[in-house]
Amino acid sequence: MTSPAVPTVRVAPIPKQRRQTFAQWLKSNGWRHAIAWVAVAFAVTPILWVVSAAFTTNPTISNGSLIPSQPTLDNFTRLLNNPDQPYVNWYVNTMLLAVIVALFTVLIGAGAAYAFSRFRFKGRKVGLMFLLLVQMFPQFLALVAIYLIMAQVSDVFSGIGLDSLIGLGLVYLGGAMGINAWLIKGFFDTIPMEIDESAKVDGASHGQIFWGIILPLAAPVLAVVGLLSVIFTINEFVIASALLQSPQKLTLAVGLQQFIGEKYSENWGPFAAGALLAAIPVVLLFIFLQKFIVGGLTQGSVKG
Amino acid sequence: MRRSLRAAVATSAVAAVAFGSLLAAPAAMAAGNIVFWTDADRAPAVRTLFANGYMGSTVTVVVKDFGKIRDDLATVTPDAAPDVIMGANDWVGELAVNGSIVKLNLATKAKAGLSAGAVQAFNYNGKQYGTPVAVENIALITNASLIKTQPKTFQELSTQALALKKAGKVDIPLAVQQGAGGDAYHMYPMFTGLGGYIFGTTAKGAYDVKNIGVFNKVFAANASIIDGWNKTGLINSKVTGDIATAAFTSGKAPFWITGPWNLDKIKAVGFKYRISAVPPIVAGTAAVPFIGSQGVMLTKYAAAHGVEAAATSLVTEFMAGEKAQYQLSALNDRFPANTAAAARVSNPLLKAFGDAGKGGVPIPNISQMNAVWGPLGAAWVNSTKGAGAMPAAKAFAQAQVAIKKAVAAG
Amino acid sequence: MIQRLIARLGGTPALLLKLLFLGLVNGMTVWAIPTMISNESWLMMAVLVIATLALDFILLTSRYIPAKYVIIGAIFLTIFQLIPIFYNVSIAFTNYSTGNIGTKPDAITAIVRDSAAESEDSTSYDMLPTRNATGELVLILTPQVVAVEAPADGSGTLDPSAPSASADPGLEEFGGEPAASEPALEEFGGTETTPSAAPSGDLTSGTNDLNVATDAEASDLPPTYAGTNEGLDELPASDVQRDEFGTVVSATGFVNVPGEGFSNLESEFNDLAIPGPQGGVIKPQGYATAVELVPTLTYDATADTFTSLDTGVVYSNNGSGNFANPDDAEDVLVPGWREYIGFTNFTNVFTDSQIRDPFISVFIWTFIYAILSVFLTFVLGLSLAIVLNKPRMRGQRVYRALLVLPYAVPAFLSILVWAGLLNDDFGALNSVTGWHVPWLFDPFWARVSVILVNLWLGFPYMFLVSTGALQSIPSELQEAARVDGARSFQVWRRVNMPLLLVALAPLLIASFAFNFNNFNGIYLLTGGGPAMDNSEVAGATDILISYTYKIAFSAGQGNDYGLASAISIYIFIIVGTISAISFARSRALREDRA
Repeated sequence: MTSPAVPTVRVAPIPKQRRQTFAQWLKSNGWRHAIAWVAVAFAVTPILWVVSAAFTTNPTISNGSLIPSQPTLDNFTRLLNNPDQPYVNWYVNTMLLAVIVALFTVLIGAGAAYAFSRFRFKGRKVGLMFLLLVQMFPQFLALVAIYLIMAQVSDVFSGIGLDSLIGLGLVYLGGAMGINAWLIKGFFDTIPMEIDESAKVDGASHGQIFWGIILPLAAPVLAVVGLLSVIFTINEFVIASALLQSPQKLTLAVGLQQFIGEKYSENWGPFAAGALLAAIPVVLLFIFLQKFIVGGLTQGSVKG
Repeated sequence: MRRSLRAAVATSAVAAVAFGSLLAAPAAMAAGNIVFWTDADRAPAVRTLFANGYMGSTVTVVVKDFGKIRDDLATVTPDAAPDVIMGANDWVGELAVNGSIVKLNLATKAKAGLSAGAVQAFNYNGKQYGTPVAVENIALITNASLIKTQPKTFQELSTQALALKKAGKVDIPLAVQQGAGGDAYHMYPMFTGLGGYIFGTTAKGAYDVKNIGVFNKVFAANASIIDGWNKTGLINSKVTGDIATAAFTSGKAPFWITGPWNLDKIKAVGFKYRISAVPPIVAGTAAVPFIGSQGVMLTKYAAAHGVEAAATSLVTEFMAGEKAQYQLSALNDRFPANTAAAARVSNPLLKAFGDAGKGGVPIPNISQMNAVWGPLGAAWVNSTKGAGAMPAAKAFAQAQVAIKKAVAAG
Repeated sequence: MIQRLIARLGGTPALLLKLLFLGLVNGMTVWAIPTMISNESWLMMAVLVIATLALDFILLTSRYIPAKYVIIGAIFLTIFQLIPIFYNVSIAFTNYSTGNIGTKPDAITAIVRDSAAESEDSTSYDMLPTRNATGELVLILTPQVVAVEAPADGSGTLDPSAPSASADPGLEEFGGEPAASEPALEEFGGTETTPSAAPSGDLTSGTNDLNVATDAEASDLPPTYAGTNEGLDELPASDVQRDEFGTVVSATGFVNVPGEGFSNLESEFNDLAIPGPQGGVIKPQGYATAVELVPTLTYDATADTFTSLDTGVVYSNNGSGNFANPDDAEDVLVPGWREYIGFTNFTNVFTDSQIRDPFISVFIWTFIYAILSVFLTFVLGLSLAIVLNKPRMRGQRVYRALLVLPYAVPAFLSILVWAGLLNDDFGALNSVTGWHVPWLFDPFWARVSVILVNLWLGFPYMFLVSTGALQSIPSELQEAARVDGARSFQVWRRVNMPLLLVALAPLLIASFAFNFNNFNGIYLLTGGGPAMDNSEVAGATDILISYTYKIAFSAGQGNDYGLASAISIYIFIIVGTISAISFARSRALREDRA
């Protein structure tokens, strides 16, 4: 699975542009700008609407404008001072869970990818096919079964069963190996075996090669897998809503859905504030890792 | 290799001991602890009632989302399971069929002290599965500063509301919630007011599921009235609970049909208001609401937890009594099911809701009711969605057929 | 440099770390074994022990080096993916649903218990638990007498035509300007209302005394009995002490069980079965009342049947999880139990019109939704990529960054926001544009809405991958074509498009598979609604996966886990087939054959 590597823009040197008439400009590039503006408006307006609502006192879903006339932080105060719906807990829960699950997902995926990329063993092909097959079954389709299993786990290990973020994280890790192993293996395959060989000659063990050579070289794909895992965890709704029960243990997806469900007029302002706070770190992370992502996406991962 | 093996065994042993102290398993439920599931709305009241435990047993109150109390009871593990739950009367069918709750034998006196209708509401297949503690129903809330004289008929209500709408003073003439999914519960006064009923009753008083009155003759004759409401915009199915609340509390709707769960919001409005029954629509037929009932039920787990007698006593003796219900009502703004406690209710708002519920009909708790909500709600939605609405006669006739079919299919 | 890095990774610290990890895992397992044995969680114990041993063996020996890198992921995969799938498959072959959730012994216990009925004339008793001289538990029982009186009000009558109190012209008015002290209860205007008297009861008395006040008059007090398993023994009236309400408070010769000792009475209460005068059995119903119960069903364990004592009907095991009347299949005893029922759930999807009709419409819509989602996002994303794929275009980077924003925002948030914006007549979109589109309301527009929102969510992804693919097309190819005199559209069709499709086809298929199961995109926006006429569960925008979810978990409609599991297996087969076809044609496998 060789990949189109991170695309680079080929830029031919272009002679300095001369002044052009509006018609010429429209014909050459102007229409592109016009279309881009429309598309940007489509993409950004809902986001601006939420940002504006977040800073407006008692906005309703119908009125409101793109620029609040008198910006206030009322909604944030209301959001953060609501003991029945502890937004701060949800926030911390979600971010911690997302980061920790992503870390383990990357390690599990990379480990499996290393084994499948660097070793030849019996059952290798079958194993690879098996991973592909298994990940086609969406984990949450087996929700009833997962719930019943976690209920049994609760009886033995009270801290990691139902209503436990650790338990939820463990369930998410069940899906860590499937497609991620494939994605990372694709990248590992592009790292020349000669590097391993020469390290082996120098006396390095397989563990040292994995941790010391392969993983650092594969940083871009690991970043993509990590980011996709973070996005998955933040967006996951079904399993979290089934397993988590106490208000202070919810994730943002479950908590905010309960917060806003059927109460759009009443809670629109604080919801907008909460959505804004929740989106910011993810958007920043995304922008920060964007150049890796474009490469990773073309290799066949889909936002989950 | 051998050395590392030995080290591994040693570490394992140490870790096993460490785990024993760290991750201690949930201690087996202490004898004499009653686990009580209720929702956040009622939990403070229940906690207050059992602050000192109950008759020598401790009471652990666990807060759950209201709907989750029913759902989780099907999948809960025995250790974590509740002994007593507080819930709605229309859960009884499902929970009894699952064997999750057990039959109660209410003593003659306890039964006599409770509203007969509310007791009946917790009766399924002739067996009693819960002790009612509160009854609730929707009522008509009127903005007294907009409506000077309370309408005596629905026609008057309509005239007043539409005049205000025409004058641009209000947005929504009659705020009654439906939404895309429909809301047969909130539309029920209008439904009965036009002569509709859901299930007939047999001579013995049980529901007759073969007799479905969604589109009976009386209703059929009156159905065109709905088309009038739709045409004038008096009732519009796009109004959701959310929108109805916002419209009334901001003075943009003169009438609101809602229940005591919105009392906090009603109290907070800045104008005078009245609480009454929905006025009659056609002469001789009352527009009555559903009477919902909350009650306590005993789960099958109480026996295994060794608190059966204590939990039974709590459910059938203590919670049935005047004192518990009066306290609960005072703490939670609901009308008690115990008639002596009801007589003592002094909150005029609560009383007004109680009066508005006179003649109301308990929500049928038989499982066939599941086949009713969807089609009946959809009939209202289809006939009151403004432009492009279906004639009510057609919509309700369809609902009648759909319900008959679904009930027959079991 | 690398040498040094490698050297630092080896040796004792790494070994110690590994041993610590294994120690923790082993310790946890060893510690958990006694609990699992006492819980009889055999499957869980087997999985845990095998997993632990495998982990030890593979990490501590050097026999299977590749396995060292797979084992942890494999354990997670097994426990939280494979076992749930197999569990799910086994559920699909059962009748696991509302009414059939427990085990058969539980069901029998429940049927026996719930069948003990108060007969028409059976009596309720006030009960006082006491001990006699030998310490034996004796219940002092006094039949309850209730003065017959009309119900206080008509509320709750089953008669739908009961008249309602007509609207009172002089209704009280509440509310108004907020009052200082008691805003809630201030009454303004209306008819004259006397201030309500203060509550007569004492709200704060601490003990939980039981409320069994009696109206009986002293003259015709009912007899009082001492009840044991031998029967009722009437006590002389002189031996019975009553309080001012006539309630029996003690009996000569018997010592009251103190209130705090009640919680220890559980097993003694269970053993009590006092023969009653009506031929039934008097059982305590709590601590202060007892009721005589008459069984209505008897269970015959050898024949595995219930016999009704009223009608004589014999209920036998119907093989699908219930005791049923052989002459009337509808007449079953509840609760039932979980039972394997073969392929019934699988075939019902095709044969039972109540399931089949909604299933078919949901099935068709799922395909339309997934295909339209992929097609529209791809067309929009690719078009934008082409438009912006002009070297040296000013503002290109800014445009790209802004266009990608919908993809960067967590989807669940965007969907919840859109649900607000599209809120029918009252949402922002309609009020800003002045349209009156019933977005989430009308079945057609709700379908438009879910596609529109999915377009917004998905086009940036297509834009990103198309941009990447466009830039990877060698520019020599394009130039060569242009030199040949091909017009730019033809360059596109003949040269770029095929190359793009080759590169992007697997992604389009993956995107299809994703949208096929795009639960959040439906459920968080419309909840599957609005309702359709032919089913109370499926709504107009429900796709298979949200429909399945609702079958299993929908509140108030009953839960059918068995059917939901069967449908989930169908979904797996559909998605699996589509993915398998695409994989067979993609490069991924061919290259790995090496």
